Parts: sequence; C-alpha cells; structure tokens
Amino acid sequence: MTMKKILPGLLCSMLFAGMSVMSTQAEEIEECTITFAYWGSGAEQAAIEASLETFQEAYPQITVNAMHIPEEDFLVKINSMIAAGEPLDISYSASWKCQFGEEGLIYNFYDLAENDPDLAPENYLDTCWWMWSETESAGPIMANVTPSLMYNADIISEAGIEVPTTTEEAWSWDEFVEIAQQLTLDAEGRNAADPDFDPNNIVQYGVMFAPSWNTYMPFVYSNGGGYLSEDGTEFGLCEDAAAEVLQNFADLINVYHVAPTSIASNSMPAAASAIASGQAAFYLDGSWNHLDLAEAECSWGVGVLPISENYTTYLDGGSLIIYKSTEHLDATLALYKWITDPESSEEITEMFRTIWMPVQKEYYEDAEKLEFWASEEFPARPEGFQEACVDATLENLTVATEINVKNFNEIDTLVSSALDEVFSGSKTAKDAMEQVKTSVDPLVEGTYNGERS
Amino acid sequence: MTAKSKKRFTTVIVYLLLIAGSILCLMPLFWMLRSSLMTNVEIFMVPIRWLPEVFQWENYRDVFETLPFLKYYANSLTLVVFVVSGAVLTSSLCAYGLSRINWAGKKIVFTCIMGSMMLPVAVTIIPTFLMFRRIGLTNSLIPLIIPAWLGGGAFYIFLLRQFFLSIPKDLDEAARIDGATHLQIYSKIILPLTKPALVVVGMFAFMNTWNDFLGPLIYLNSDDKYTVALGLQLFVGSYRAEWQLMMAAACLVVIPAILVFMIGQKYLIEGITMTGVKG
Amino acid sequence: MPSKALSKKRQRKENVWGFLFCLPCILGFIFFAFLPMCISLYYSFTDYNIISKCNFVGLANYQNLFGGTDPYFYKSLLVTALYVALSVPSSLIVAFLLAMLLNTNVKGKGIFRTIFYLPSIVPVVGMSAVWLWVFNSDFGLVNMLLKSVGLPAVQWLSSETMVIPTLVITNLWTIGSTMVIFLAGLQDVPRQLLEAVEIDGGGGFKKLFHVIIPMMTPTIFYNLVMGIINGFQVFTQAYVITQGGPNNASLFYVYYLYREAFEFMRMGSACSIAWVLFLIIMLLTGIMFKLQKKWVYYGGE
Repeated sequence: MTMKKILPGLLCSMLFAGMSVMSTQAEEIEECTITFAYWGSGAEQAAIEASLETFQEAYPQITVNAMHIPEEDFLVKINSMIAAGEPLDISYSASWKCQFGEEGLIYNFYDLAENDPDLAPENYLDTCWWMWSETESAGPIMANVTPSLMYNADIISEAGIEVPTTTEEAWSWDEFVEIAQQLTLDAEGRNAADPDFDPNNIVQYGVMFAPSWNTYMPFVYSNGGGYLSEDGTEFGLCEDAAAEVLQNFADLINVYHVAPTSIASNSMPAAASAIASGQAAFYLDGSWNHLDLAEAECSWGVGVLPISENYTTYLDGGSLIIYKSTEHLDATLALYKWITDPESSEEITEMFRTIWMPVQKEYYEDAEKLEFWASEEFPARPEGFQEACVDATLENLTVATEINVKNFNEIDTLVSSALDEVFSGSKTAKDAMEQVKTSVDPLVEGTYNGERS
Repeated sequence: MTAKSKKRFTTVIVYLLLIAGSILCLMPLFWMLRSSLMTNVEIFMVPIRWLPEVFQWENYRDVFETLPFLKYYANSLTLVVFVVSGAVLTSSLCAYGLSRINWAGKKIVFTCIMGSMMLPVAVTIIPTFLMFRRIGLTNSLIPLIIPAWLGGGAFYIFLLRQFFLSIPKDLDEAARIDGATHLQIYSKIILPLTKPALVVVGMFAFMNTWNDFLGPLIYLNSDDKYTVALGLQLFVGSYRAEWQLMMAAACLVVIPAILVFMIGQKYLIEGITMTGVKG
Repeated sequence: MPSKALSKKRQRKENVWGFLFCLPCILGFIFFAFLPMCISLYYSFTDYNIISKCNFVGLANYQNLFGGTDPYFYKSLLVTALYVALSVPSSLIVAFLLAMLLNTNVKGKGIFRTIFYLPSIVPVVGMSAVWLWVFNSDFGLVNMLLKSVGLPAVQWLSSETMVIPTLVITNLWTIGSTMVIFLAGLQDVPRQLLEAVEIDGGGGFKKLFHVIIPMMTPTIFYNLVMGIINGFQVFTQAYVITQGGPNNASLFYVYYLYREAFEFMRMGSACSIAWVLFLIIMLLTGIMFKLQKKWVYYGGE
C-alpha cells in the first residue's frame, strides 16, 4: 500500500479535521440506519468499506447499510428498489440522475445547501455541477477525473524527447503526430516515418487512445468546435472544426499507423498494461489510470494534451445523489460530507491521492491543501502532475460534455457507433457525422447551462 | 486382421480428435488460471506470456480478503440444493402429465409453457420482483427458490417431455392393466428409465443457478446474502478492473461446478444399461 | 370394448390426474410467466419508466419501432436473425458430432466428457476476456498465428462483417448443454436396432442415418427449438464482449432491449420490443411444431 509514504504530520491534520466535523453535528443526529448504494472495483470497495467503519465510529448512532452493486447493473438495481419502495438514502449515480431529478426522486442540492453552510455552492468548482434544470442540481461532482496524456518515461527519454507539462509549451497536433511516428516501431525496428515501415507488424505503438468522447472533446473544444452546434439546437460534431479533430484521430490509425486498429475500448490493453509493457509510448485516456500506473511500478509520466492553441479541457465524474425518500436527512448528509471530504478518513484520503481529484476550490487555491492530495511525492502523482493535470486543467476549464449536454447518454450511444466507421477508415469523419446527424437531431435539447458545449 | 487394424485406426482417429478438442476446450480455463496468478499488467502483455513470471498466489488470498467469498459459497450452495431438488421433482411431474396422461388440458398447458420461454427476462423480472415484494419476500433466497418448486422452468419440462415421449406406451399400459396408478408408473417405470435425462436436468438447474447473477442482484439487498456469481461481478469497477482478482474468483467459482459435472456424468454412463428394457 | 359411460368416467379420472401432475407448473406459469407477461403487454402501450407513474400512449411505441423512428430496431432484428441462421446449425452439428465422439467406447470417457463440458460452465466474464484476447486484431493469438504462416490478419471483432461470424465461432465453446442432451439421447438408441444393422452388414453411415438419427429426432427437435428460442434471445456476448459494436454490427435484439429498459429507462418501449420478439419466436416455434410431424419420431406414439 502506498500509505507508507504519507507524511505523519499530514496524518495528524487529517484526523483532526475528521474530529472537527464530528463534534459539530454528531450529537444532533438520532439513531438510525441509512442505505448507501455504490459501485467500484475491489480496491475502491475496500476503501469505502473501511472508511464507512471509521464513519460509524465517529457517528455511533448511525448504521450504514452499504450495498456494493456491480456498476453495469447499477441502474437496474436502483430502479427495482425505487419501484418497490425499498429504503434508499444515498447512492453513486451516472447521467441517469438527471431523469431522477426531473421525476422528483432526489434532492435539489441547492435546497440542501441553503440550510447547511458546509455545502455552500461557492465552495465548489464552478464547472462541476450536475444540473437537471437551470436552478436544480443533483450535486457537484463527488470526485474529479480529467483527460490525461500518459507516457512510458523510458521510451520517451531514450528518444531524447521531453514531454511538455505547461500549455504554453504544449505540442501542436502535427508535432504530436510526428513524435508518435518516431516512436512507432515495427518488428524490424523501423519507425512509422520510414518508407519501408511495415504497418502489419507493429511492436510498439506511438499512441493509444480510448475512442470515447472523454478523449476527443478537449481537442474539439480547443479547435473551436462543439458537441452541439453554436445555438445548441443541432448536432455539432459534423461541423468542420469538430470533424477535423475526429478525422485526425482516425488518421492516427489509418494514415500514420501510429495507433492500433482494434480500438474498441474493451479490446485494448488498459493504459497501465500498455505503458508498463512498452506496447505504447503515449496513452490518451482518463486520469483514473494513474493509480494502476503507480501500482504497475513502471517508469511513467504525464504531460499536457497536445493542444497548442486555445487549450480547453474539463473535470468530470459522478455525483452522490440524495433520495427524497430518505427519512434521515441529517445522517445522510453527514455521510455525504464524509465521502466527499478528502480528509475525512485515511481510506478516502488515499482515494484522492490516487484515482480522484477533489472538487472543493480550497484544494486547488490553498498551496498546502494542494500538496495534501497532489504532492508529487505520491506514487500516483508523477513529476509534472501539478502543472499538467492541475494547473493546465484548472486554468482552461469548461463543463464536461457529459454533464452539460442534455440527453447525452442516448446521443453518445449513436455517435460512438458512427465513430466506429470513422476509426475503421470506412468513412470520413465528416460523412459519418453528417449521416448520424439525422438520428441525433431529434434527441438534441441543448445544454443545461445554456452555453454551447 | 484387416478388420482389427481398421478398428485400431478408427480408435487412433477418435483419440486424436478427442485430444485436439480437449486442448481447445481447456484453453479458456487455462487462460483464466494463468491470469489469476499474474499481476494486472502482466495479463495483457504482448508478446503473450503463457505463464506468470512470478506466481502471484496472494491473488487468491486477496479475493477472500476483499469479499466474503466463503459466505457467498454458503449462500450459493443453499440456493442450489433447494433449486435443483425442486426443479427435478416438479418438472418431471409436469412432463409426465404432459406426455403420459391423456387429459383435456394437455395441449393448452404445453403451449403456455412453451410460450413462457419466449419473452425475454429483462421485461418480466421487474413485475415478478414487485409481486414478491408485495408479499414481503425480498432480500432472501426464497423468491429465487419458489419458481423451481413450481415447475422449475419451461426448459426442463420441455426436455423431459421429449424424453418421456420416446418411451414405448405399451410399458405403462401393461402396468395400468395390472392396476398401477399414475404415481406408481411415474415413480417405478418412467423415472428409472429416464435417469440420464433427470441427471441432465439436475445439472442444468445447478449450472444455471450457480451462474445466475441477475436474479440475486434484483432480490438481494445486503452483501451477506450475495451469491458467488454476483460476487464475481463486483470486481469490475467504474474506472478500473482488477482482472487478476476476478480471474482468481472465477476459478474458485468454477471448481464446484466441475465437481458436480464429474459426478453427474457418471450417471449418464449408467443410463446405458437401462436401454435393454426397451423394445 | 368398454362402454361409453365407462370410458367417459375414465377420461374424467385422467383429467384429474393430468391436472394434478401439472398443477405445480400451472401455478408457476400463472405467477411467473402469465401475470408478468400481461403486465408487460400492458406496459408496451405506455411510457412506463419504472420510477414514475405511467401514461397510456396507445400504439406509439410500436409505431416508433416499425415507422423507423427508432434507429436500432431493424438493424438489431437483422443482426440477430443472421446470428441465429449461422449459430443454430453450426452449434447443432458440432454438438451432435461431439456427442457421437464421446459416446464411443474409449478409455477416460468420463474425463473427456467433463473437459468438453467445461467451457460451458466457465463464468462468462472469464470466457469473454479470453475471446477479447484471442481475437484482438492487433495483439491477439489468432492473428499472431495467421501472420506467422504468412496469412493476412483478420479484423475479427473489430470489423462489421466479421463480428457476427466471430461470435458464432466463440459460441461453439458454449454448446456443452446441447451436447449433453444429445449424449443423453444417444443412450436411448436401442442397441438391438444397431446390432440388427450390423447383422445386415451395414456400416457406420447406415447406422447413423437409418437408426441413430431417426431415433434421436426428439432430442434434435428439442435442441433445434431451444436453439432458435435462445438464439433470438442471445444477450451476454453483446453485453460483455462487443457492447453491440462495431457500428451496431452485433447489436443483438435483447441487448438493444435491455439498453432501452435499463439504460435509457424506457420500460414501456422495451416491453413493446419484447412483444415483437415474442411474436416472432412464437411464429417460428409454431411452424416447427407443425412440421415436426413429418420428421420427428416418438417411440411412445
């Protein structure tokens, strides 16, 4: 476990912070049982379970009935519980929460915040709100992740390349492609720029990327495009600025041969495997891979995305929703704060030092608090992390596409199918996007914050 | 001599086919086993590693540490015992009623039972769940057991009916003339004659219950009631999947199933001796 | 000849017995099939989404499907039909041949039977990980082998045309139950008949076509019907391996339905999708039962 590396002083301050939360409210809450539903891999589950134990020590009158549910089937389970009227107080949530909000099943976070200064909206980053109408929110993101450029440090240093970590020095797309070409090698050791290069026998790819909106949208935004059109009434990826970006990604595969052809996200090795085994020099995917990279004990690093102009990116993540059916709002809120507070318990702190990034402003503005979770001493926070993942992101934030675009889940199901044709090279990005536009347009209802996304 | 060498030749061919098939069949299992002893990164390495560099036996320990797998085993076993016994008993009763008794409702009941297989579970599972909820039977294994005692599932009834139909009618007609009741014919003639089919039903009921996770997911609300199949699903998270642990858990899940099949298949062989009775 | 009254009385008794034998499954049918079916039929005319009150929308759900508003309906129907057309015959033939092979008198029969059944009991998550690895077009074992003998690599799961054939191939690893049913059926082939063919000087083929296959028709029929019913309801492969891709080329009908119900929360629409499938399967099964009189031989009749 990486906990060894935590400075003892930080440990103390953390415990102290936990105590203070407890003393303010603990006595007022009456004895009760609350149900909390969540998902997560074994490591996440272990962290949550352990953290819930400390929670119940701090609040002996609250019993938490924690339900660990497989993520793929989470909504089935939640729906059946709601339909049956079974007690449910708080849970993880994906974009379906907006529908829950519209149906009046969950609390508007702003209403809760009105009576509780700890939850004041101004404490949170401005772009992190999950909304279901202009005035109603399903809460801020509970823990952030962000698109990230990860690399195998051995390959990079051998090639004498330095990966920029600030937006001023960021590579342009063309530079990035050139470097990726150098770093793509076939079985004979020729790189992808070599005229004799054999694209059928690649042993090391310059770049791998997850073929999802999360990867390409920062590039689309930076290029002046959007998921929706300027006025938010039509599909936007078919416009030139966006289609160009999508075509760029497809060209990595089919023109430059620097990325693998089998890119369906579940058929590709995950970032940690690909980087640790040297299959890929670069990997474009979410920052949640940092924990696995740290645990793989390979030499790795992070850089800014290869966007040289108008750098735009986002923080994304689920939120904890509180159900209106709860009979113990106080206890539920206490649990809410516990899980979203990076300092509530050792286990939660560990999550914020590996997979998650905090959502509260103070953890970015206050240098000491920033060090608390983002110190480059931590194994999952490599050198350059603060510049590339924190500063570059915070200074160029927009609202994540998933959070802002209405009906996103359903639209993106159509879009990602159409993108399969682009990435396989059977259609140009422009054609494929224009074709899918007819099915997408009836679903377009604009954005939640009213601005373009 | 030629006949003998021809026979030997056939035997060699049969063995070759069996061994080739076995390799293909064992491959996925081998892959699971080898992945369960690797680190998460090593599993997906290219070029492919057939064996782990260092055997990570602690993956198995981690499985038991992360999730209460022993508890899950106990739950699954309890469930399986009740489901299998119920399914074999009631589906064979029903199949008898649909094949050996000439009664008025035979056709319509059979059509209904066939029809019940044709609607995807995805749309019936919630209404069924709400029904059980109304009588207050959720968060227990009971809703997963009751259906087995009420026919056990159309698949089994249809299967047994096919087998019962192929038994010559004169057998039970002779018995009827001797004054045997349907219950006697069912238990003394039909069941012994179709033992292989009954074993097959038992094994299928076991496998289906053992590997089902949608049912337990919907009906069970607390971790300590979970079954192994459901526990297995818990290793894939939103951002990361611990493949090595999942593979280790999958190996643990599969072992009892292998044992059941090895025992069950013996009865399949035993069935051969019974065929002599038939005309 | 028994008198009419007597046979009537006897028939009444048979009716009672028949009803009693079938009672458990009649109850089971009413509660776990009929009622949920009625409810889902009702929902198919509503905009039910599980979590809120539903409104009656008439035939709107069905109109969306057939009118082409729903971009997935026809595609998934086509994909699934193709899958059924390829997977049912291939799995029946392979399972039958395997059962024949395992029914020969070889040493270690029990071990071989267990081995051949093994892939069917491996949990799906484990199995699908294997397929993703074996059929990966860049890093997979199969393409590695193809390349090493100088053949061109195939895009397997990542190509729209190859994904269904690939899934049909992987499906051959899950035919253990079909095989076991055949195996059980083979035990019922009367030995005297086989011996009779031998005495007449008939060889293996004669035995196969004149005795074994005719005697096995009830099990073949069973496996055919179940193959079609299950084939149309294939779900896990799309759910776990391909997520319906690439470009919806493996968007199996029930996966599409599941997504509609539990991802997009349109239970009403999902129910209408389910009922279309129900009618299709019902029709096909009805035809097969009509046709079975021509080729299925029941010893008990």
